[in-house]
Amino acid sequence: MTCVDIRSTFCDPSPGGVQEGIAAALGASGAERQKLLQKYVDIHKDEVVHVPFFEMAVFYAVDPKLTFLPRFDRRVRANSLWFAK
Amino acid sequence: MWKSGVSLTAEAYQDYVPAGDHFEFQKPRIKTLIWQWRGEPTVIGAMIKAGEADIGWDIGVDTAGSLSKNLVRSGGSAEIFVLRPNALWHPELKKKEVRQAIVHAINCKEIVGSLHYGATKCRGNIVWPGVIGATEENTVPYEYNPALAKQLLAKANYNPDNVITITGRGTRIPKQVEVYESVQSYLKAVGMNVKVSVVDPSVWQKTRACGIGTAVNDVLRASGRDPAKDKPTNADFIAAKAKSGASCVQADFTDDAPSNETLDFGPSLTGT
Repeated sequence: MTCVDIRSTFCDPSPGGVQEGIAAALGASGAERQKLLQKYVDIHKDEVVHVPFFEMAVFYAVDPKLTFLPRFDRRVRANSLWFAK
Repeated sequence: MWKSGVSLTAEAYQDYVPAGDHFEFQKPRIKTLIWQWRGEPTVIGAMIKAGEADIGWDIGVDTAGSLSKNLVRSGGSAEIFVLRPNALWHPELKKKEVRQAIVHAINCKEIVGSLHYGATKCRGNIVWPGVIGATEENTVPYEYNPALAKQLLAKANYNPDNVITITGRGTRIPKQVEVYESVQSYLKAVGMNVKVSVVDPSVWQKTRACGIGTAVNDVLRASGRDPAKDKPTNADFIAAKAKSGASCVQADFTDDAPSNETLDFGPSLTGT
């Protein structure tokens, strides 16, 4: 949503527009950050900056004897695997 | 031990110091782990079925469907599959009502149900509740409403002579080309003129880096300034947006997968 990033395909440099408040939102913390970022998520949805579809599902084939819980970041960590006795 | 292109063997580090009590931060219980590379998901699935391997990563929706349920696990990732419209310079996509028409013309649930066996969830934004900035309201999926999409297109004075081409990768998600074709079909049903172009990831990378920031850098260079040193002003943003495009190959509509690993909308605000 920024006018600076080389990948951005949305830019609102109008007075009081999106670009003007980005620095303040990024510098905020706690409840103020939630409030300021929420404004941008609202705009993102209304402006359809991206056309969203679905969470990217990952499928694993796993031996039933192996204990494995899929992670949020879809990585497989060696120390989170073990075999049932 | 690493055998190039074949396998990587990892031995448990016995002096590893566990951190806290979370199961992911404990000493590995498996002493020797061999990672093998196989390109074909069907081969990976067959290896698990035959007991030749114990876990196969990212086997895809078709292979998952071919295995018995007790051999398959599925999980989400922090990413959301999206199409990114060129809201800067495409004559139709820069109209807000056209972009809104698009989201109301696509039946995401039907796509997930028919192409991904319902294994994932449609989302109405690039973040979801729990991420800083997200709420139930600003992340709820858009309503599938082709009649509303047609109204919005009429309001925007949509011109089908301005073709919209989806330029995207073919294998980033399961059945990606079929997803593009579904989108094309939904948009055609409301009167839109959409084409699909599946490209090599290297081409995709170039189009992905052809947004407003590149046009701003063009403006800086044209005025004798150095993008590496000189900070752009608001006037530069306005000038870049007023151009017909940046000095690179841009796409009308391209695929992407913004990540929520930071649980904060901030990185998406500046990086997309």
